Amino acid sequence: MATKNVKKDFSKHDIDYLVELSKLTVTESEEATITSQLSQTLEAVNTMEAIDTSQVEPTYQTNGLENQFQTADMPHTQLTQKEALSGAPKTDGTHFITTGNTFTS
Amino acid sequence: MKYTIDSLHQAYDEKQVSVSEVVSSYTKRIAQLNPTLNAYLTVDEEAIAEQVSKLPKYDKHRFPLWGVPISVKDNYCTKGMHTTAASNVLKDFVPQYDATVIRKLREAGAIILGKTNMDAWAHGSSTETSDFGPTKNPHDITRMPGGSSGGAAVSVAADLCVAAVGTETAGSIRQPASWCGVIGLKPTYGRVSRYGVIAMASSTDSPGPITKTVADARSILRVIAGHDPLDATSLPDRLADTSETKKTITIGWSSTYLDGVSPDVKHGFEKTLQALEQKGHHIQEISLMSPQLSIAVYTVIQRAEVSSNLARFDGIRYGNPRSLFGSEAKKRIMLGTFVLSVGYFDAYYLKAQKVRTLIINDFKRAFKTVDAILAPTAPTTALKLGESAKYPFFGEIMDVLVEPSSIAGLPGISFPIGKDDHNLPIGMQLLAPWKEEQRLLRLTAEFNPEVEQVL
Repeated sequence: MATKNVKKDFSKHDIDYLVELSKLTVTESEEATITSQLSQTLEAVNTMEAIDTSQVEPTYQTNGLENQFQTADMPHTQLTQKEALSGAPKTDGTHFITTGNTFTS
Repeated sequence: MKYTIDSLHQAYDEKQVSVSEVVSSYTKRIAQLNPTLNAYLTVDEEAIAEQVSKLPKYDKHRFPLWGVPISVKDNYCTKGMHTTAASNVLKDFVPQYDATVIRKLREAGAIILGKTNMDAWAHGSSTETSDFGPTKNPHDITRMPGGSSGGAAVSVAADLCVAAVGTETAGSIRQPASWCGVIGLKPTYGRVSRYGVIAMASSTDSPGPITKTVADARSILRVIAGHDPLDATSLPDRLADTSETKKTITIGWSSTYLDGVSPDVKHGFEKTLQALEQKGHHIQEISLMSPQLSIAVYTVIQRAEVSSNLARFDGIRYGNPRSLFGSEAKKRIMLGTFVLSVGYFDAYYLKAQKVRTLIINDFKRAFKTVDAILAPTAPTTALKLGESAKYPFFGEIMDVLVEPSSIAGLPGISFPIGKDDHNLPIGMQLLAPWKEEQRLLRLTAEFNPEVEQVL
């Protein structure tokens, strides 16, 4: 069974890690605000802990639909290669050009 | 001007005006007022002219929105028309396809006037987090319109369109409708397709109408509702044509929804409850879980789904780099990433989904004894511009009274019931059981809510 860790607040280290995991960039002053605001949010969120859910199943989807599969008559519009590439900042005419993955730690 | 769908069609019936005249009077009004209000981000005159030229022969029965100028929130993909979600990340994005709602509006003969401002990525309840500047409330331009569908609500309140479509994840239709004195309907989750709507929290996102009359909300819902094979959570059920025939019903209210509500709004609530009683409805006090509890649940679910949905914006296939995300989106993505991470998933995401079950069960229990629930839409009327930046989760506080029903996927409607001491509109909401939008519309129509034209 997985452990039920509750976190009290975020350190600068936590925030740096989340920034990297989320592939975001933050400035130093922004980071200070984010650290304090997210810690406040965490405090509010932790109030859930007091609610007894030991006998309760989770609900991920509220209207009860399950296992909705694609059907043969599903409308299907396919983008042309030109359309698919039309919003890309960098292409070679037939492919997207990426900058590569820069995940470091 | 101040057309509704019905009055506009009557004018077309009597050949008082042409669609070109109507459309150009709206674009003129937008050109005049939008610099102050900032309700629209895009008004594409060329696209409007093309839509007008392609309209089929006038037939309001076959095309129930024929020639009706409509505004669209900027998180609906519109083929060939800029779609930004009010974020610099999508500043130059032009979709290659229409959202299902847009396709249905076009097929019904609607004229899409343009795209309305919103909180960036629909993250907020102020429209102040838009990367393209805040929208102003036409009742008092020093105040916020609410959000995230703030531009949509203002476009209706200031008569910059006949009607609007917005989206709600938890409050984003009802709360701005309340602050701007218009009607906002959030349908049952799955009633209206999410296909082509820039996803926020996929388990609660619900597109819906913002209008001047209840009849208009019904007309638009009829057009946009329905099963869509392109959205796996789309309901297979058809929208009932008319409401049930029972004339008087039982309406519940819970004191937990009045905690922290301003005196003016509370007074408005009491007046509305009395009015319902005078109309012959049975009023019953019920006990619902404190909506405060839903703030934590909603925050976790919404952040988690946001972090996953916004992961697709890589700046490679379309859009700008992730470095252009605003501060609000960054915070939400980071907290979402945290609650879904190994070691914390159970305590946060799973826990929130379990409390969500409790909230649903609470409503199920209530709806065994009452047919609908009345509550204020928002704890206050419109606040001053700039207020939203003072709170780390302003949106959740302003949306506290709509969050439980959103988390549960219930339908809800907000309608204006009068003004407070500052002459600002007060909104009330009615909630009904799943799939009972028609009951909400019928009940609201009994009030014949008046949307006052401002400016």
